[in-house]
Amino acid sequence: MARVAFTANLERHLSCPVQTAPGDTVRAVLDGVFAAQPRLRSYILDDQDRVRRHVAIFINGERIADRDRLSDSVGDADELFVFQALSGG
Amino acid sequence: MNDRLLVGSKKGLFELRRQHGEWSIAGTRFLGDPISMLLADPRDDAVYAAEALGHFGVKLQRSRDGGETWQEIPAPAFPKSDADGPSVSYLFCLETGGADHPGWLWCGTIPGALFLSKDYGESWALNEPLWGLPERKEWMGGGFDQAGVASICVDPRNSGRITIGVSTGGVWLSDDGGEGWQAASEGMHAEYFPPPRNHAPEVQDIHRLVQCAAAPDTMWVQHHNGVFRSTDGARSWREVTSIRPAKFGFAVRCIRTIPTQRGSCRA
Repeated sequence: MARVAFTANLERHLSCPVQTAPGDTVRAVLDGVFAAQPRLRSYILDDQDRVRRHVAIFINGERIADRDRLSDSVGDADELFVFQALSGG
Repeated sequence: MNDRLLVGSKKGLFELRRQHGEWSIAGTRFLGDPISMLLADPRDDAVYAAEALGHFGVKLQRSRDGGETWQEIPAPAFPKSDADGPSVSYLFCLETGGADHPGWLWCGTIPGALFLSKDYGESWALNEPLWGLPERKEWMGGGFDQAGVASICVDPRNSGRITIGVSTGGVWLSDDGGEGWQAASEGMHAEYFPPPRNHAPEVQDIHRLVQCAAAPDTMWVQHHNGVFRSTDGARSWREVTSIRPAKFGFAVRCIRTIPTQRGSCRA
C-alpha cells in the first residue's frame, strides 16, 4: 500500500496523520484516505473532484501530471505527498 | 444595548465585549483564516461563519452556543458535472430564510450562484433556475475574477419573495421562492461602462443590497458608482445624488427605526 503524507498545516483544521492506503492511482489512494476521513476530501479536491488550484500532490518527489482525473499511477512502494502550492509572492 | 460583538475579519473571528463603556477583544477563533461572511440567526441563535481558506477552499462553521464552540458543516458545492464544471471559490453572503422556514439558509457564492439549505446548513442545493438563466453568462467579475451573488434579501412580508444583488450582474427578483427570476435593475447606470450598454443589468455592480424591515418596498443598493434607492420593491431605482463626500463604498444599511411617515426609510 502506498504511504500518504499531508502538509502539517492541514492539522490546524482536521486530523490527517501519515497513513497507508490501497490503490493503483492517485484517485484510488485518496479515495481510500477519504473513506476514513470524509471531511478531508473538500480540503484537497474541489467541487468536481479535481485537485484544488492551490494544492500540489507529488509522488516520490515528482509532481502529478493529471490534476483533473488523478489518473497518475501509484505503486505499493510509492509515497504521496499533499502540500499547499506556493501561490502568490 | 448589546455588550457582545462577533467580528469576522480577514485574519479570523474576533469576539469583542464591552465593559464599563470600553470595548476589548475577549476571544478569537479561526485565527489567521479569512472569514468571508458571518451570520447570526435570530430565529434559533445559531451563528454561522464562512471561511475562505487560501489553499484548502471554502468552509462553513456553525455554533449553537453563541460562538463558544464551533462545528464544521458542509459548505455549498456545485453538483458534479464534468472536467470543466464549476466549483465554489467564495461564500459571499449568508442570509436566513423567513420566519416561516426555521433552519432555512440562503448562501450567495462566487461564481455567481445561489444555494439553499433547509436543514440548518447540513446540506445545500444549487438554485438551478438562477444558474440556468441565459443572462447569467453575461455576468462579470467585479473585484473578483468571477461574478458573485453579493446580497440576498428575503422579504419579511413574504419569504418567497427574494431579491439578490450580483457583482456584477445587477439585481434579480423572484416572487416564487427562487423558481423564476427577473432582472430588477431598471433605472441603474454604470459610469464605468460605455453606452449604450451602461444601463444593461449585467454590468451593474451591486456591492450591497438591503431591504428596509419597516417599509419593505424600500430597498437600497450600494452600487460601484453610487447609491440607488427603490420604493417599489426593486422594480425601479433612482440614484441618491446627495451623498457627500464620496459615493463609493461597500456598506449600506437600513436603520431599523420607526418610520417618521409611512414609507420613509433612512440608510
